[in-house]
Amino acid sequence: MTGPGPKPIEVVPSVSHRRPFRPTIKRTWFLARPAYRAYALREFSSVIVGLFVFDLIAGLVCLHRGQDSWRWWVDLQTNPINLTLTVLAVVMSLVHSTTWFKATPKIIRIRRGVHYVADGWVVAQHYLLLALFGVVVYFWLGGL
Amino acid sequence: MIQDKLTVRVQRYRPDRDEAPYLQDFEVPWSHDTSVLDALNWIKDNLDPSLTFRWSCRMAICGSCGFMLNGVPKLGCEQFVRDYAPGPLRIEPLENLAVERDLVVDLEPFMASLKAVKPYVITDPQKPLSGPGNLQTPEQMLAYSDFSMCINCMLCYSACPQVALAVDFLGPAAITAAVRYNHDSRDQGEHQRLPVLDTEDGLWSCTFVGECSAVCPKGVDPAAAIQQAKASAALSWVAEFALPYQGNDR
Amino acid sequence: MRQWEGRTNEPLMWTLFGAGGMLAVFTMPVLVVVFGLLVPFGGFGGAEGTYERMHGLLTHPIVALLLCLALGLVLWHCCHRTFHALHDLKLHPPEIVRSMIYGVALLSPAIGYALCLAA
Repeated sequence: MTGPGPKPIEVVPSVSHRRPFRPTIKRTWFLARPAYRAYALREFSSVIVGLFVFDLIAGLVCLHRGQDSWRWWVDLQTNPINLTLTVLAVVMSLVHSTTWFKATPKIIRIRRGVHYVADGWVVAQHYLLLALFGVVVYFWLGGL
Repeated sequence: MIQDKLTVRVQRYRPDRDEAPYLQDFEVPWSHDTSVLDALNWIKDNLDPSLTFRWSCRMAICGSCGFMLNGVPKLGCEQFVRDYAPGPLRIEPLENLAVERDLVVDLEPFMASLKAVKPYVITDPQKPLSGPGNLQTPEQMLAYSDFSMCINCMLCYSACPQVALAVDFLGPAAITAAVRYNHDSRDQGEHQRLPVLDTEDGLWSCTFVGECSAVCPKGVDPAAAIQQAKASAALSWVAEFALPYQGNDR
Repeated sequence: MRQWEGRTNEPLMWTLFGAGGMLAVFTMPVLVVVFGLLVPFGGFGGAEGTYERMHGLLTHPIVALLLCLALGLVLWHCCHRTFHALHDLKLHPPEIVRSMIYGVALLSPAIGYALCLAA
C-alpha cells in the first residue's frame, strides 16, 4: 500500500446529559389510593386500641382498690367522652382484628402435600378463636 | 376506514432540554386488540420517534415494559387500550424511581439491592455432595416456587410507599429473591444473606402495606416473602441467644 | 452477638409486636364490647355482678401480673405501630422519642401492677 493511509479517527469523550429526575413523595401519600387509605386506617386502629388498653389498666387497678372504686370505673365508661371513644374503639378493634386475620395466611403457611392449606381456612380459624374467647368471657361472667 | 382514536397522555422528559417532566398528548388509533405497548410503538413509529421507553418480549415475561397507567403500575404489553377507552390514557414512568428520560427509569439502585442479597444458590463447600447431585422433591420446591416467578419488572417498587419513604430500602423484589434462595433446599447461604436483610434498610423498612403483592403481574406475593423473612430473622436473633456459638464465623 | 453494619434490635421489637398483635386480635374486640359497653349499661350484673365474679381471680397477684404482662404486650404492639406510623408521615423523630413511645408500653403496665399491689 502506498500513500499516508487513512486519517485516524479523533476520539472525543462525550458529555453525559444524564439528569435523573427524582420525585419526592407527598406527606399525604396515604390518601391517594384506596389501598393506601385502608393501610392508614389499619395503622390508626392500633393507636385507638392502645388507648383502650390504658382504660383497661385503670380498670384493673380500680378492681384491686375495692367495690366502690370498681363501680366508679364502670360508671366512668358511661361518660359521654369515654363512650364516644369506646364506640370508636369497638369499630377500630374490629378493623384491627379483621385486617390482621386477613394477613395471617401470608406468614402461617401449612403444607399439605404439594399445596398449602387454603388461605380462607387459616382466616376462618382465627375468627373461630375470637368467637371462642367471646364465649369464654360470656360464661365466665355468668351470662348476660 | 374511520378508526377510533384515543388520547394517550405520555410523560415526557429530556434531561438536556427540560427542567422537569411534562405531559404530552397524542391521538392514537386503536382496535380491540391494541395493547398499551402497541399504542406507544405506534406513537414512536408515526408521530414522535424521540419517545423513549423500554420493552422487549410483548408477553409479560421480560419485565421491561412497566409503566404507571392512570396512576396504577402495570405492564404495558398485557394491558389493552380498549380497557382505557374513551381515555385519556395517562402513561407515566414507574413511581418512586428516578426518571432518566421519558418513560425510562433508573434501575441501578435495584440492581445493587439485588446483587447485595446474593441471588444464587450458595452451597457449603464443607458439606459433601450426597448422591447423584441436587435432588429436590416437589414438596421442597413448593417452599420457594412462587417466589421464583419474579420477572424483575419493578411494579412492586412503584406500589410500595416505603421505597419512596425509606431511601435505601432493599425493596420487595430484592427481598423476595433472598427468600427464594433461603427457602431452596439446595441452598445453605441463609446466614450470608442475613446481614443484608436484618438491617433498618433491609427487611425492617417494610410495614406490610401489601400493595406489592396486589400489583405483581406474576403472582409472586412479595409481601408474604417479606413477612416470612421477618419471622426467620427473628428466629435467627433468638437462636443467637439460645444456641451456643456454632463455630467459624462464615 | 454477631455484628454487622446497620444491625438493630428490630427482630426483638417485631417479635413482641407480633405477640402483642396475636393477643390483641383475639381479645380486644370482646373486651371493648363487654367492659366498654355491656357492663357499664348493666350487662353481666353491672358493676356489682362483675365485681363478685372477677374480684377473687383477678386480684390474685400472679393473675394480675399475667394480665399486666398481656396488656403490656398489646400496648407494645400499639406503640410499635404508632412509632412506625410517624415514619410513614415523613417524620423522623430522634431516638429519644422512640424510647419514650416504647417506654410507655413498658412503664404503663409496670406502674399499673405496682398500683394494683399497693391497693
